[in-house]
Order: sequence, then structure tokens, then C-alpha cells
Amino acid sequence: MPKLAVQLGGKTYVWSAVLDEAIVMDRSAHEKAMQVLFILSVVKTCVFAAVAILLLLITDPTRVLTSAFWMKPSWTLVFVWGTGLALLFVWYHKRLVAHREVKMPVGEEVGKVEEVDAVNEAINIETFFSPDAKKAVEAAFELANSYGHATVEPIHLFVGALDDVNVHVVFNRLGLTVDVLKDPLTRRLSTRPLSKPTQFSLDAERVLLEGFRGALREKQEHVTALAVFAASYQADPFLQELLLDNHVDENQFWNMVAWLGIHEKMRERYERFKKAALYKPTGAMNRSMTSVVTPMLDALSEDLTTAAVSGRLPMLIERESEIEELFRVIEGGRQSVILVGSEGVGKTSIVAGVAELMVEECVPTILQDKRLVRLSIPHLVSGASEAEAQERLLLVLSEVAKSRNIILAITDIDQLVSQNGANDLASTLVDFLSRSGTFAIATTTPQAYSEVVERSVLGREFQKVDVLEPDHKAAIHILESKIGGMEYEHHVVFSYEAVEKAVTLTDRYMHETYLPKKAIEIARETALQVAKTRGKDALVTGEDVSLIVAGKTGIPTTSVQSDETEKLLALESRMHGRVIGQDEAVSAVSAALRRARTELRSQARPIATFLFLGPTGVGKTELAKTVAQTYFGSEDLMIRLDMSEYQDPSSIHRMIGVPGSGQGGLLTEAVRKNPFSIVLLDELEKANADILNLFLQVFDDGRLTDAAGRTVDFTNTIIIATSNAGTQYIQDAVGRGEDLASVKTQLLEEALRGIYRPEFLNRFDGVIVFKPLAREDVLSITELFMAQVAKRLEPKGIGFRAAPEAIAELAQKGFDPKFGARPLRRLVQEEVDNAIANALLEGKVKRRDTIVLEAGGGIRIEEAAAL
Amino acid sequence: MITPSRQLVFRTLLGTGIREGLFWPVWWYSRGLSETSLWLLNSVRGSVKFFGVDVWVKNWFVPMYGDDSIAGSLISIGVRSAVIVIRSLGVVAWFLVAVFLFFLYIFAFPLALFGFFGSLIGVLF
Repeated sequence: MPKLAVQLGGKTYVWSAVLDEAIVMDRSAHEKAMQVLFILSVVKTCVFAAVAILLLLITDPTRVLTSAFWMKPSWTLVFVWGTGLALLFVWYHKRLVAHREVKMPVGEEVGKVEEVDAVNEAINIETFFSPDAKKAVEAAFELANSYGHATVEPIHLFVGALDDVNVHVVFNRLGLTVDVLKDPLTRRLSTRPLSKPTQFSLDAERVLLEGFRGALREKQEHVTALAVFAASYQADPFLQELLLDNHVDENQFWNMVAWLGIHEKMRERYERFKKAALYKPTGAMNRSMTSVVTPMLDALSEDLTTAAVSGRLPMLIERESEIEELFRVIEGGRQSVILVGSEGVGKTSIVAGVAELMVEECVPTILQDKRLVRLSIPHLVSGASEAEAQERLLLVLSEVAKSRNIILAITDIDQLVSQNGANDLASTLVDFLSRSGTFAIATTTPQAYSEVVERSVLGREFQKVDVLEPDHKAAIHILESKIGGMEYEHHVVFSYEAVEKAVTLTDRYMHETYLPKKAIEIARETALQVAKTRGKDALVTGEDVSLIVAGKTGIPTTSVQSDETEKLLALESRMHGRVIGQDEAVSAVSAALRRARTELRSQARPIATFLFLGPTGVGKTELAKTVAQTYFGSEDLMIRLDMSEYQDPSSIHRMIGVPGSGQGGLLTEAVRKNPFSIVLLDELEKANADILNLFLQVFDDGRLTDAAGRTVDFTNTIIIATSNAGTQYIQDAVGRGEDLASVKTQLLEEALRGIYRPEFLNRFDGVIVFKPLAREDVLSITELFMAQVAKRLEPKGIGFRAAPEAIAELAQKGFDPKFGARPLRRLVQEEVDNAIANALLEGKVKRRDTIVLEAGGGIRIEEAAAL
Repeated sequence: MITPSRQLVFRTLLGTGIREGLFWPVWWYSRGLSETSLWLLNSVRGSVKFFGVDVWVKNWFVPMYGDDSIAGSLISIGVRSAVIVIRSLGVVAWFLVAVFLFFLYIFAFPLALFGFFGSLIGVLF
């Protein structure tokens, strides 16, 4: 007795199939019997036909043309008629089997699965189940029965569906194997309550009804085994957890199931399209022959409907709302439409989609028996003066007017206006459209629309339809629809992870272009690369996509490898190799970098933002350089802005560009070109307050809009500001022996109050106080400088070392509490580098010799033994 | 795994075979006939679209090749009438084929049945 039901179109649908051992066995026997019967019928037909042909060939085949052959009984005639009869039986048998497949009901409003007490006249949904789905349900029952389980539960249905070919595809693309799930599934199954006879649980009934609902929603012809599999996953939290343990979350699972749905829909559409294309003329002439030949137009355009008929246009996915709006505008007032969207969001695909719908004639009456022709503006204006271009356009428009079966598609219509002095072309087009009663479908970018189209005559004639960048889910579905072609072209197989990463990584790291185009391009490139390196039938993984994205952006998007793990864990010691002391600063920076690399940071803000406070020469800039070297791989990936150059409010234009110039500024351009870099704002306290306000947005949202209207992404930058503000206070406090934490508190509460606003300071991830250098620090720095001198001499084949006394002497001389290590660097230049330079010029040093710096500043040369 | 025995499969095969055999004539002249008739009817409808008769009738008085002149319009009506007749002949031809196939369906089963058993009996006795 069913306890759950779904309402649709006034009818009640339930799962009322009874399953027990005997029924399952009977069904299995029946299925086998049907297979045997079919095979026997075919064999019988073949044998009869073969014997009939043989008998005819042995005697005289031309006998069949005589009436005597048909009137007089003979063995040949027996086999000829027998062949006919057997053929009719095969056909009858196939039709009979086909009859058993009942068509799915159709309805817009599918009710929820609800509990019912008693059901009269309900329809058993089992009749809508495909043979594979029935097999999955029976397998689930058999599994529960073999374990002696009291009820069939979602987990049994999940396991029962694992043999289905589409479920295999889901597993393969998700990188799952049944072997990996086997043990946890067996453990789970062993905990189910036991009892006989095995019956269907309420949850299992719900799964089957949800599978039915899912198939209705997707307008499928049957409830498939995949629908049962998906519904069982949805119903059982254990299964969700199990897949999550194997790195498959709910989104990934459903997007993968949707992938198969998209594939199936595309196949159905292709079949339908092929039939419809038979009736669509491919030339200038329409079916009713009302049009005229259009030689001028043909020379300057591409017939999109013809292209669609020959299958040269891509199928449109996930743009139903835009198409609907476009048709509404056209139907509403025969008005021209302009699709406004950024480069790569799919405007041209929508136009191609309209062409496909025109081939199928699934369009408003006004578009039926017409052809969509894309006018090429570059062809129109190339090699022509203004007057000639206008003449060409007039000829084209006159052909369109006479033909009466042409809808113009004009991509990048702004080109009509922006051509040098050719504004008249736009006026001519608008004049024609308003008089002729016909219309056009145009495209442009938002920038061109606001700058050119909206202000010109085109703005009045064309109604705007926005084409937005698809969200992640839609972009994944669009990419999924393209993967089949790529797999066929390159002989590779895409994992779901690769598809997802192509969308997520390009969205996160490639801000110059838009989804879905950038994801499609990356996927295509990855497929090519994998086919080249790993050969036929290789699997394209998420890591392959990451490598391509990393190669294009310079951002390490691949997962953290073991050698990199060591590097990340030892960041502090690596940094201390260049920065002496300043433990707090080094620790804070290292921790931020580790968070960023393991993706624990917020993706909507810069990787980290630091304010380094402290006296000059204590290592603030050096630490910034070290971060650039350690994390970004090169000191060159540092965008250094001397904020003393930004004291004037108008200097903001240098940073983000002059309004109206259409160009970015120093900062925005640098970050746009190198989004993965350090931004060093030196001497921040000298910058104008308005400039500091600019960074409030950068710190909060990780982006900045330049004067050209481009949004520049700062989410992959580390922003370090250095400031000497409060230096005197720091030096005094450290001199008094106060600890750094209290110095910092005092600084933030008192000394920095008049310089930075509290909300500005609060937005830094860390305000780090650099303490003045102590004598022992200077000694270590001197050793570091000596090591640098030795490194510089290494390419010349000359050794260098400094005596401990010499180092101590240099440290003593170079130490200045006010200027930190700066005087020391100068001292090393003056006393060491100069002496070495002189020795080199005088020819006193040869290859393999060693220069020894001694106390008192003198150098001694240890000559190497002759070869 | 519940696997049916060979005996059960054989019994089911025998039962299904006999049932299908007995049901064959009933199906042939009930559901089979209605399905085939419907298919043929749809194919005749499809032929109207295939030969474009509907489109031509709809545009009977629309001038061909965009020629709006009186002479052009008159010629157009004449030509369209002729084309509609010619295209309609295509539909009629296909209709005749469909009628032939319909009768072939009606007679194919008894013809094959009696042909086979008649010849067999004739040869044997």
C-alpha cells in the first residue's frame, strides 16, 4: 500500500509496484525469455530467407516472375512465404515491446511528494521507469533481500544503480571509483536492521517519487537509473558525506548530473534540428519565393540561418531568459534590439541561437520563413571612402527592403558610429529601420553602448537587452555543452574537476575577459596540451587546468606540492636569511602568506595588507622585497610607489588615470598587468588624505576602478605600506625598554592619531612595529653584507672573506641608532667595495685568489696555487 | 543475485511465445492497424510541409521576387497557382503511396499466413 504520492494534472502518481523474490525472479525470467524470443525470431527469418534464396538459386531465380511459381505449391514457395511471415512477426514483436513503454505525463506544476492515507485510482510510476531504472530498483531489492534487511533504503537504490552506464560516466568524470566506496558502503549496509520479508521503506518510496519528479522537471522520456541514483544521493546524508569524503560536494554532484542532462538535451535538439533543417532554404530565396536576390548583401555578410542549417553554429545553452526578452521586444513593437554585454559573455552565441531557432521555426510569426544575415561592418567600410561606404550601405538596405525575408544582425554596431567621420552610416541605418518596418538585432559592449551608441541616433531606435556574465553554475553548464566537441577533437576525456576549475580559476584570476569565453578558451588549450603531452584518451584533470591558468597569469593556482609545503613552513627562516631581527614582522607576514597559499584567506580582499612602522633603515623595505622574492618568485614583482609624490589631491589621477582619458593610472595599470605582485606604498604618511581614502576600498573589496572604467583586481596582491610616522616615539620607548606590544598600542592610540584616521588603520591586517636595530643586529647585518660582497665576486672566480675583527669594526663604525643599517651599507661601499675595485683594476687579483678583509679596513690577497 | 532457473526461463518463453502468437491477429487489426494508419496519416500531413503547399497557399497573392507591379502581381498569381497544383500533385502521389501501404498492411498478414500454410499443406499433402 503506497504511503506517498505526487499530484500532477489532477492525477495521483504513486509507487505501487510489489517486489518480492518470486516477482523479481519472474521478471528476470520474462526479460530473458523476451530476449530469447527476439533472437529466435530473427534467426528464423534469416534461416527461411537463406533457404529460400538457396532454393531459388539452385533452380531458376526467374521463376518468381511467373504466375505458376506463386500458384503451384513448392518448398521454395514455403520458404518465401515463411520469410515474409517471420519478418512480420519480428516487426510485431518489436512494436509490442515498444508499446509497453508508456509515455511520461506532461505538466508544468509538479506537486511535491506528500503523504497519503488511502489512494484510489492512482497511477503506478513504475510504468514510466526505463528498463535500466527498473533493473536498478530490482538490484536494490535483491541487495536488501540478500543481506536480510528489513527494508529497501536509499543506500540500496544508490548501490543498485551503480551498474548503469550513465552512473559510470558520473563516477568517471568525478574521479570516483566503486572500489573506493565499497568498504564504507558495506560497513553502512551491515548496520541496517534485519527482518523478513524485505519491504520498501518510506524513504525508498520517496526516492523513487523524487526520481519521477526530477525526470518530469527535466522533460525526460523515462525515469532513468541516473534519476534514481541522484534522488537516492539527495535523500541520504550518509551518501552525501561519503562523496564529500572523496572530494565531491553537492554542487559538483548536481552539476555533473546536469552535464548528462545537457548532453541528452543537446542530442534530442540535434535530432529535431536535423529534421527541421531539411525544410529551411539555404540560399537567398525563402520557401514562398517572395524574396529577391541580394548580391550586394551577400558580398558583405554571412547568412547565419544557412550556417545553422549546415551545423556550423554552436548550440545555445542557458540563455533562455535573454532569448525570451529579445523575442518579447521584437513581437511587442517590431523594434530593433541591441544586446549589450561584455566581450565573451555570449552575445554572438545568442544571435547564433536565434538563427537556430529560426531554422526550427520555433520563433514568433514575424521571424518565420526569414533568414538572419550578419552584416559585416569591416567589409562594408573597407577600402571605401565615407560616401562609398554609405552608398554600399544604401544598396544593402535597399536589397533588404525588397527581399522582405531578411533580418539584419549587426555585431559591434558601435563601429558604425565610431568610424572616422562616418556617423552618417548609423543615421542611414536608423532611417531605414524606422521607415521600412523591418528590424535588426545588434550587439555591443557596455562601454561602447554608454560612450557611443546611447548618445547617437542608434540609441533611439534600438531597445537594450542586457547580456550579463553567467554565474558559476551557468558557466559550468555552458562549458559542459562544449566539452563533447573538445573531447572529440583532441581525443581526451575531461574530468568534472577540470571543467569546474576552468570556470572558477579563470573567474578568480583572469579579470580582463569574461565568462564563459575565457573558461572555454582555457579548457580548449588544456585539452590540446594534455593531448600533446599524454597522448590519446588521456584524462584532463583540474591540475592540468590549474597549470595552464598559472602559466597565463603567473599565479600559483596548482595545489600545494610537497616541496612547496616545506618552503611554506620554513618561510620565517628563509626570510631571516635577508632580514635581521624583526621577529614579529617576519612571523606576521609568513603566516599571511601561508593562509593565502592554502586558500584560507578571504577571496574578496587582497592576500594581506600590512603597515610597517618604524625608523628608517631597520628593514621595512627589505622585508617587502624578501616577500616578493620568496612568495612571488622575483623582486621585480613589486610595484613600488613613493607616496611623497602623491601629496597633492590631484595626484590621484596619476594613480588611477585622468577622467575622460580612457587610460588607467600608474597603480591600476601596474596591477592590471601584474595582478600577482606586491604593492609597496613607501612613506605613506606623506600621501594626501584623499589618496588614503582610495585605499579604503582596495583594502575592503580588493578592487579599484580606473579612469577607463575598468575594475582592477587587487585580490592577488599583498599591500605593504611603510611609514616613519611615530619614529621618535618608537625609538624613545624602545630605549626605555618598553615591549613592542605596548609601543604599538600607544602608537595607534596616540602618536598616529593625527596622521591616519582610525578606520584606515583598522583596515590593515597587521600594523607591525619595527624596532630600532641593536648592536648585535648590526653585526649580523654586516655579516650579511659581507656575504653579499662574496656573492658578487663569485662570477669572477674570486673568493672573499672578512676577518671577525673587520666585521666587528665595520659594525661599530656603521651603527647609527637614528638611521639603522643605512650608514652601514654606505660604509661597506666606501671601505670594502672601493678597495676591491682598486685591487681588481690594478690587476692584483686573479681568478681563484681570495680577498681577505682585515681589521683596519685593509685587504689582503691570498694567491691561489698555479695550475 | 536472484537468477531464474533455465526451466523457468523456458516455461516463460513457451508461455510468452504462445501468448504472442495467439494475440498477433488481434493486435494486427486493432492497435497495430490504428498505429499504422496514424503514422501514414502523419506522413501525408508531413508531405504537405515537405512540398511546401501550405507556405505557397498562404502566399498565393503575395507577389513573387518582390515585384509589386500589377503585371508582376498577376503573373505571380498565375505562376503560384500552377506551382501549387504541381506541388499538390506531389502530395496526392504520396497520399496514393500511403493508401497502397495501408492496404498492404491490411492484406500482408493473411496473405503471408495463408501463403505459408497453404504452400506447406500443398507440398506435404
